[in-house]
Amino acid sequence: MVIQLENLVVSYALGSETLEILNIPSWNIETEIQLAISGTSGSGKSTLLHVLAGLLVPTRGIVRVCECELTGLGEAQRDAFRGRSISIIFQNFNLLQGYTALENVLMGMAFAAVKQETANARQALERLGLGRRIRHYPAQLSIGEQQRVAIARALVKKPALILADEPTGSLDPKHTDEVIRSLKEACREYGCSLIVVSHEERVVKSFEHHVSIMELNRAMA
Amino acid sequence: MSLGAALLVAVVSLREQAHRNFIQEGLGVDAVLGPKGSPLQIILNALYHLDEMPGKIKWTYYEAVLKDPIVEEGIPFITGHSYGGFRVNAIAERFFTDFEYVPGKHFSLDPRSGGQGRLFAARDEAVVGWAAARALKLRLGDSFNPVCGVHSGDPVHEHDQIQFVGIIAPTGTPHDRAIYIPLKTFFTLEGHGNEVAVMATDPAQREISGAYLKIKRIRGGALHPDIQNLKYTINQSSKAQCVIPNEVLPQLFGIIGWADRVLFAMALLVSLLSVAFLFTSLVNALRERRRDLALIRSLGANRCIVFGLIITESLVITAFSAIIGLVFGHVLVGLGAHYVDIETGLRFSAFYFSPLDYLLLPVMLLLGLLTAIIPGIQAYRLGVLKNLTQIS
Repeated sequence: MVIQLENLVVSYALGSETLEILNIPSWNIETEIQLAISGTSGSGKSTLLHVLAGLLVPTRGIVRVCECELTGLGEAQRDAFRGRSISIIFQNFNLLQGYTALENVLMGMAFAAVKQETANARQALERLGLGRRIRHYPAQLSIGEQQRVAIARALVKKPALILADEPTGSLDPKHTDEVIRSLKEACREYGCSLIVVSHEERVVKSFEHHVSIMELNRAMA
Repeated sequence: MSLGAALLVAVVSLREQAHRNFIQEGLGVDAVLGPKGSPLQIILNALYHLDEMPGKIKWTYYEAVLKDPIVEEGIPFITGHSYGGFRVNAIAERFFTDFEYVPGKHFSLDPRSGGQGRLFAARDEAVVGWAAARALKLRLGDSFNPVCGVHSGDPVHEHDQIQFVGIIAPTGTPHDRAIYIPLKTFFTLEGHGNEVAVMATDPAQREISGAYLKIKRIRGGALHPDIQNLKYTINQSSKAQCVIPNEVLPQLFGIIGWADRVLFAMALLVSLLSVAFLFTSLVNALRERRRDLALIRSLGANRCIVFGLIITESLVITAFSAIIGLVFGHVLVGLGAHYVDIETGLRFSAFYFSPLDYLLLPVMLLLGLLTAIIPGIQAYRLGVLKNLTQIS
């Protein structure tokens, strides 16, 4: 089981009222999958991703990701789980500016179960067409290249699941197609599931499997 | 931080070496027999070739003191002349053969030790301390006319030309900055008049500036306890006084110690400011790197790792600062020692290690640890989502 959600509720106190962001009675993904979750801004799709990544503890419900029940874990255990099994790709890439592309990818392995090997990091960058850019700093790379470095960093630790939050939000259509293609191919090659959250129809429709957050989230119904 | 550490190291090293040079060793003199006047003035003149003697003492009184059973030896001297800004002292030849400028060490003219030539033998010969020779660019065979006084404009003994026949090997004491002529030469210098000339042949008429006294030791190497009785007896008389350097030098150090305390306070202030600077740097850096730290958290690092990163960063900075400060501090001492040597003849070593040197690294690491705790806690409490993502 890749993902299993039961009665998931995420809500925030807003003064005397409670603002419900997520309310998903049930959602299961049983096998390795490449899935896009669509939704408008503020519909809770990023919140769902943060819950799946163990970055956010839900108000109620059960969250199982890669056979691990996150709701039963403490923060340090969730950190360790994330280091071991989950990679996250962000809209703004979140590369460490003072480090080269290679060092950024190596950082991806620092807290993972895999051994931190330069050869693997180099291979991941080469796989994404950045073989000649490994010694370049993020500022010396194009936006598309920076996102591919972020993808390489996510892949290199061979996670069970990659969560991508608006990975093409900062890219033009040409780079969007390039990045999504690279991401899907690389996940297939590395054997990991991929869940992409995006508000771009172009991105969502490029996935064989896609779902609208509105279908899942009763809070938005 | 390195600058603060370097200043601390240099100031403490110089202070401790100065203490050692001035107080512990007492420049090899157990007591100085001198005229009535300020004991400090006598010490400054007799040992450091500074200031002037407040008067003279009778040779006969000096001989009487020599007969005291605890006095092992006396070396009479006459000060009050100069050349090229350096003091010219008339002194008994035994000063160069018997006197130990530090326990166990005699003056040397041996070229292997840095000396040259020989000891004076005739009335018109002189030997010169290493630092004075270097400053005045003196060579063996050069001659000079002593100035009758220690101030610029004092009359020169035009007809008394004295030749340098020896350069004393470096001793690391103020004696390196003096010129020495035979005691009897003083009495025969032209211009001193018949009153003084008579002293050359009639010891009963003779007057001297003072004498270095060597006191007998008791078991264990300590000074004979009766030195206090000797001092009391001499000081009760109207003819002279006995000054014990180890009693007066701490006063001297107390007087000049303010400069050293100011320097130490400044170094301490620089160090404390650098610690404050480190703290603000860490806090500011943390503010700028919140996103990076949140990213590291998202990659799987837990709060303790992030806390540890901040602490480690601070410890690495302080460790490097301490090491660079240690090295730079000793380099400063080495550079300063060169000038102190030229100016005072006192020897300071860049390789002298004070207890501070051994404490500096652990103390700075402790400061680095304490400084990093608050930024570390801030990093520990950093919100990953708040700093990394946008809720959509």
